[in-house]
Amino acid sequence: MGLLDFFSSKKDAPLLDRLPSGSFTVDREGKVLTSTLPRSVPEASVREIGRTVMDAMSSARDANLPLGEFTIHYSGLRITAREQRGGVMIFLAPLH
Amino acid sequence: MGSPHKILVLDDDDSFLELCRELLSTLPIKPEVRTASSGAHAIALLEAEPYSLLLTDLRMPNMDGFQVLAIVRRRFPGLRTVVMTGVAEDAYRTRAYAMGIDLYLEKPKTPQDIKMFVDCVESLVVREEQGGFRGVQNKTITDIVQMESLSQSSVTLKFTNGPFVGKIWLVNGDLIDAEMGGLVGEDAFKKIISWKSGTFESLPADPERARRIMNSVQGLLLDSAQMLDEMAAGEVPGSGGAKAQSVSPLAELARNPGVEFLLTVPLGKAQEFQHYGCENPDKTALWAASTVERFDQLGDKLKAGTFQQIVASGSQRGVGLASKGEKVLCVGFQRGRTTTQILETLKTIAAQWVS
Repeated sequence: MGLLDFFSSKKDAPLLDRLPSGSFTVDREGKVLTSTLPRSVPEASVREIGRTVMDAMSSARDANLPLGEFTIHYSGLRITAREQRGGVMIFLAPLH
Repeated sequence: MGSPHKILVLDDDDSFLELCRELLSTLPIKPEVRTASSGAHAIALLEAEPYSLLLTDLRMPNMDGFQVLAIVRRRFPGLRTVVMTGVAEDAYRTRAYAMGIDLYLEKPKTPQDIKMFVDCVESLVVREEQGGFRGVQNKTITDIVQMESLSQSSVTLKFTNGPFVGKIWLVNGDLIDAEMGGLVGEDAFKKIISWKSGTFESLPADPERARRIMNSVQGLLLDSAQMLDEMAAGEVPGSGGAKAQSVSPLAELARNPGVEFLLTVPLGKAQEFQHYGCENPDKTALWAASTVERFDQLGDKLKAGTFQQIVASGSQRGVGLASKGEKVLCVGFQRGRTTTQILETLKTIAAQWVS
């Protein structure tokens, strides 16, 4: 089983050749306002990141945990998000 | 293992909490000092593990010291309490003593004040260990009943332990009856005798009281002493004897620097959480599990590699999230910790949690 686990491990899933690097801002509705990300990054992915971060922040507020800054660590990417005037500024930093 | 003496200090002033932590840590009894900056957090910590002493301020936002004391009296009747405040008015002092506090101290300002403050706290913690009833300090109920019996008194002894009131009737030194809540006779006597502290009053005798206890005072006291020994050894399940109160693994993890609360929750089963010191554990568990789940899914979509941790911070506190298998670890940190400090401590706690 250990060998099978080894092959099926998510750790070994191939990363994208180049994870996105740059920053973008989204407004309170989740609309992307500004971006320094390369054009190769699909707009849907950018919106998805923004929406996930905003959902995490608003559900934290609902749980009486007001949190204005998030850093999400993956083995290949670090996402930093800061709440700003209702919207969020998000930084993407690949680690490889 | 931590110290057997745990002191909880509640104040909304972070610098005063730090001063108390430093002062009390120098006591020869080496107490473990925990701090809380809100009443709700203090109550959550008191629920998580037993404390020897609570030191509380009076003037605080949201929940003031009197509200905290009212809850403590009801839910933790045996806990020694000290008010430590800048308010010197007699009306506050009288009201606090009426709520059953052990001591009312003004916040220390001079070296003499500090020495007195530290001495008072140590004396109370040591006294808590010895037990005793207010008014006849250092005397157990057994001592009081024995004294009244040997002097062949006719008296009604009234004991108050938080919300519970118990009465023991003696006529010419003979034990006649006892009553506590719905219990009467020997059952009530054994329940009352297990109390370690509270308040005590001597009321007039009631010779008309019907006799329900036929056993002798000495016989019943021997039975009760045996029962108390078994409770202290943790042999009676749920007895709450000192040795029966084992420290939970989460409480051990919470000894890491800056930790305010800890919570673990299985993914998809948010109601099956375990926590230490969390004010809103059900909502926090739901949020922690759903947040890890949604960022784990996002990582899969972005092919960003394995999800490792989330560090979040806000005006009131910081929070760290990590996962192992199907379980999520959520750690709350005191405000003022940097994201680097939170990340390092979270990694340490996650490693200890997994092992």
